[in-house]
Amino acid sequence: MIEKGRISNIQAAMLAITSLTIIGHLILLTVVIHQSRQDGWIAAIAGTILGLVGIISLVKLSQSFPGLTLIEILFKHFSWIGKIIGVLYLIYFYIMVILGTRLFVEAYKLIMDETPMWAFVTVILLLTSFIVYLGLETMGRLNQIMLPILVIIAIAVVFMTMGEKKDYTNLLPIMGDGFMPVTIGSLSVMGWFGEFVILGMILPYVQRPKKLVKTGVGVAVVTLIFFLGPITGPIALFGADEAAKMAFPTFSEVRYIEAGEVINRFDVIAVLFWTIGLMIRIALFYYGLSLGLAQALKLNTYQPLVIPLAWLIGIGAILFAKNYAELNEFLFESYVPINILMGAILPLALFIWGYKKRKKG
Amino acid sequence: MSKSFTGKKKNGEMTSETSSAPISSSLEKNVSILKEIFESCDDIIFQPTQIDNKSVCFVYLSEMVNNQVLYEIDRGLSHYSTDANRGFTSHIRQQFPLGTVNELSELQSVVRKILSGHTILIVDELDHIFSFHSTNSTGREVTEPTTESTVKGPKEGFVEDIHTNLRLIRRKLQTPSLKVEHLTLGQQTNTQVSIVYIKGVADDGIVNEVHQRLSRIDIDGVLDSHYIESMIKDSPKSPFPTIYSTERPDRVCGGLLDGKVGIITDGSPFALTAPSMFVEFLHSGEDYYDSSLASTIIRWVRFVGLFVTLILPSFYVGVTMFHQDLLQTPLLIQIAANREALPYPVLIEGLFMLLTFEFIREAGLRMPKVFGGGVVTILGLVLIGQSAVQAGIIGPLMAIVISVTALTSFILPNYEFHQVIRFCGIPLLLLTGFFGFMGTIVGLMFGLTHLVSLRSFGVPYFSPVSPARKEGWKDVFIRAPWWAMDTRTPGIGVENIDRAGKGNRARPPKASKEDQDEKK
Repeated sequence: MIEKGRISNIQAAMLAITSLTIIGHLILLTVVIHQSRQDGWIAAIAGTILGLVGIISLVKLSQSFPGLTLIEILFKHFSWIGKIIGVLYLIYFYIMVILGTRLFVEAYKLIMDETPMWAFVTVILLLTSFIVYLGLETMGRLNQIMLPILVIIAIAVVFMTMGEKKDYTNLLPIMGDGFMPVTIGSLSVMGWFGEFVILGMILPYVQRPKKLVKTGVGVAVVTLIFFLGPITGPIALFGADEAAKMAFPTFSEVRYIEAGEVINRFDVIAVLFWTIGLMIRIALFYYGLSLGLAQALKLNTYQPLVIPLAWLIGIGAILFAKNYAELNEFLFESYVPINILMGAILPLALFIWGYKKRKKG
Repeated sequence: MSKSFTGKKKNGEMTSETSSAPISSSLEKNVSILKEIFESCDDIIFQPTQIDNKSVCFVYLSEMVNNQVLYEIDRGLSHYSTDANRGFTSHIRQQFPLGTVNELSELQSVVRKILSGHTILIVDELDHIFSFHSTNSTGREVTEPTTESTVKGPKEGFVEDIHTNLRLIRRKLQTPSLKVEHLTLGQQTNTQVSIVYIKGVADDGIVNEVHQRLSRIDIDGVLDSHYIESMIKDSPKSPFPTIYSTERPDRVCGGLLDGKVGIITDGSPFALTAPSMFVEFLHSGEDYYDSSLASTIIRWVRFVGLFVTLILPSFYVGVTMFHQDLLQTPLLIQIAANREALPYPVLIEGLFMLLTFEFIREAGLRMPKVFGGGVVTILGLVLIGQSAVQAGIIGPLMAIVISVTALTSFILPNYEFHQVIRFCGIPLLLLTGFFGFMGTIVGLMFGLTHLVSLRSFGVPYFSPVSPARKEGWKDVFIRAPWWAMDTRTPGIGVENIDRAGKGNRARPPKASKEDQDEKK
């Protein structure tokens, strides 16, 4: 077995929560607000329930092949079709890593537009390579320390933005535009939860695999709770029309805070969230990619792959899109379908297939 | 057989042939072997004499033995006569107090005993040699520890002599479960090293691991416990200490009660305890002797101090170079006005000031006491606080920032840890100079990633925070009152972590029967 470390169920759940939450706040929020306007929060709840399909089928799939990662399961138990799907998953992980890296760059471009792109790419890839190189345990522990800190700060931000500037009547009328916007929005949220599939690379290494269903549902619920604040906040603050036009609505919201006479702008908090959240997210997918590739190539260790992959990710992140508009197009058009396919449909199909196979055997 | 660390084989060195050689029963032969080994050692005394027609010879190092003891040995032996119808050996056994005499039958141990200050008695026609405990123990008195002073709590500190140190520990932990295992390390120094632990509390695996790592050490000399520390720590390349070194016996005993293993080195007043967690380096021994509330607050002051030490210079550089809009306008104008006339970028200023602080600190430490340390401090103060600012090289705000940083770094209770954290500020400062706050956070994350990946004798460095063991949290984020400290720090010692009964909290006596009747 390549990975010798073990993490607790809570650490695994926390990794998923951080990874999902940061991408939710950075990009999915824009998508959902754009699609569902003031009904975004309904879409979020409905989408979470839909998302549970992918989460639970992945967990069940993992539980029926104990000790094997998603890639190993695909390469060992599902003949040549499995191998093709395995390669698809590796490509999917790769796309998700470069997406995270690119988002890191784009987010920082907002505040530091003079610094060249490669500088940001280098910094974040050096950091995440270091984390991936040190392995799963390190990543789990790092996240276990940082996530509570981020949550505490986030709650503080929520309280600070609670002033009279917010107008929650902006959220009315409920379902004012009919069911369609909510349905589309909830599909986006479902796609977002499809990213949980990366945990297929980690679930075999948790300490108590039997309780994973609980862990998975816990992840969905907690992530949803973390998502409800940001999806209502910008709408309450700016109104649905304004919020839908913003690239990073949470960032705009955070920029709005003034804590009395002490500190004027809270960019730093946004910087903190992006850096740490994206760091964990990139590291998680990067780890999944390295481990999966090593297992697909039947290597004894994944560490030699880390540095070459860093090059590929760096180049990919720079070539991924010409500018933010192109990236946005990807997020709006392709992100959700890809994730629904990889995160919900394929795990469900694989689970059913595996179940039938075992019944026969 | 381990490699020897001397250029060529000299007489003074115990070669494999001589060291394991048994002692011959001829006095002359024994003496000649010893004389050969101790050739050109003018401080060794061979004193042949007769005790009731038996020819014997005393051998000792004149500087190492206590003359009073020599006199007593002489007196004790003078009573011997062959008429008494008993052997020489049994006479000695009766005549001298228990534990002061050993019978040796190997040359290697004889040489070692001589070197450690024992007096050797070689008797003709006997196949063993007597060694009398006569070490002249002139060392420092037990005084208050200089590096870890406290207001409350025990005031004694370790000294250089290992026997005194072991006594200090034994006196606090009066139980047969306290195990002390001796080792000798260093081919030239033959330093005594003792492993102490409480059986049934310390994890056997960790004790074995300590044993193994210590016995693997192959070095010419061990002059301080740090030699050992750097050779047995888990991650040799990490700057962070994963073994706690302390001058306080109470701290060692507290560690032992938590299931740790102590390592005491002869000649060093610093004992080591392992495994050690990161949070321990932010705990002072005094935390446990003060009230729970006060200790908790002081702990948080230290946490804040740690962060200030790490990021205050970076924060200032980041604010002035990248994130000016973070500050409120009046303060921003102040800073801008201050910085207007300054020639150098704020990053250079910061590095210059940090360097100056290191100069002052080092000069103050190394300057001969005759000049007085105060001179340096005053010089430094004038240099930093006044001249540099007035000359327009350094902004006054930067002077404040560096002074505060210098001050807070001394909040950290452990010296080794303080050193590391102080230097961590410099890379953070550089990163911030290049990338703004992103650099600071990335730098901190690099550090944290490194920290959480560390282990100390198999125990994760960041436990019990991560991996989370919430039984341990009452001694991390707070210092729970003693009645609530009913478990040991988890993960260090044995699985069963109960340390105290549950009923230690004093409660008011229950209402008497009459009161209850009245209520009815």
